[in-house]
Amino acid sequence: VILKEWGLFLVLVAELAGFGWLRWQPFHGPAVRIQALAVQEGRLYVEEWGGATLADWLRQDAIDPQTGVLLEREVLARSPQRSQAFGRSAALDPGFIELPKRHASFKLQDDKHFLRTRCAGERSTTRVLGARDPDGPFALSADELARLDDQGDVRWKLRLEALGGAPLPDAGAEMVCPVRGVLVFALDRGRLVGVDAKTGNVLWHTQL
Amino acid sequence: MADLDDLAARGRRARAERDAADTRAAGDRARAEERSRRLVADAATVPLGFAIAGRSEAYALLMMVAVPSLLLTLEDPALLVWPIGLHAGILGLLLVVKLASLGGARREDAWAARFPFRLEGWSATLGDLSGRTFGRYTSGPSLKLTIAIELSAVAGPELADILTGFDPKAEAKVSGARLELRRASFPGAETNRPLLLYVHRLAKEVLLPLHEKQPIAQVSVELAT
Repeated sequence: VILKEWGLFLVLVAELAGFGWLRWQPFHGPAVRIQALAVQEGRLYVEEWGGATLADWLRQDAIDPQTGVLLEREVLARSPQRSQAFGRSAALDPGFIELPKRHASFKLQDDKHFLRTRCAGERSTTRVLGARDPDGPFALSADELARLDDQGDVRWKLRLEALGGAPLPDAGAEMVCPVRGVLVFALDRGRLVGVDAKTGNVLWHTQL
Repeated sequence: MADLDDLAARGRRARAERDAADTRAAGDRARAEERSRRLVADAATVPLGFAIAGRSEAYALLMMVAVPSLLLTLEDPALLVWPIGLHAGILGLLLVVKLASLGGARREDAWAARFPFRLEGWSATLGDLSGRTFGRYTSGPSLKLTIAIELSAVAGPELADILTGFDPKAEAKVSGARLELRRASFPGAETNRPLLLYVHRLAKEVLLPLHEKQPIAQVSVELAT
């Protein structure tokens, strides 16, 4: 009888709690993946993909060029016409990189730092996005780079150190990054930005 | 011999315990039924009472709101403020309805007790939804309402006309000191609110004025499928 009398109220309260939790928790529903991003003069352009309706939208984050802290977020467009909205070739800097759908990884090759990407479902396809002299200000030790698994099947640690230039938000800290689809990178005129592919949050950025 | 006596004593104890358990269970069942009847009767005293009458169909209505709301989370979490607001509104509304209905059956009993004649089992009738289904347009119109008015003296045929004047859809019959109103297709609902409104109007427009002219001894109301 108690359930009969108060059951509907209990269900309503439970639903309210559930919806509230879904609304204010940081991760929402199916993962939203960062499809592409670019950095230009302190603004991060992010194209997201995800959700049940496969909605696409483009947002623009203003980040502090010194600290990488998110200052402002604005959704620029959200429509099936994302290509036009993004204007990827015309509006953005030539340094804009179309990023991998799932994977991004570093690779050491011929004593150079290469940023390589590999798209999901295209295991053999790698593209060199940028290269850097290992003695440059962006330090990634050869040992750590060697631990990167090109197949993307293992977890790896990326140690970032601020060596001159802009300080890193996570300077000196170790970030544990599951390889599969968690980090995506943008490279723009010497700036490297790491973004959580699920949340779209800027994890770190630095000057190369 | 002593063993047999022990067994007999144990048997008596077991029987007494079993009887006590049966009595307790019967008491629990009766109390649960009474609470259930009171819940339905309370719900009949307020508009929107169907939502708090403990009917399972109210959950179906709620799901019609909740499921599309849940799908919104896949689309855009920011849109969730709308279902949250909607659910909070529904919850607030239900609380208001519930608070308004509390003690409704007792109020109805008190209302019936104020009459100078007996209104038999009024809140029990209000709390009875047996044979009813959810749809107003399924079992609803097939309900049969019978109101029997026992007068203190033999009634004249003009009293049947009064009842027909009160409800032209009803059949009125006089037999001796008994006046009967029958309605073959009484509008049913998810609660007995239509019955409550009908009887309140009957009491105000017919029973009390009639009692002044010709004393009424008892009124009984029956709603059946």
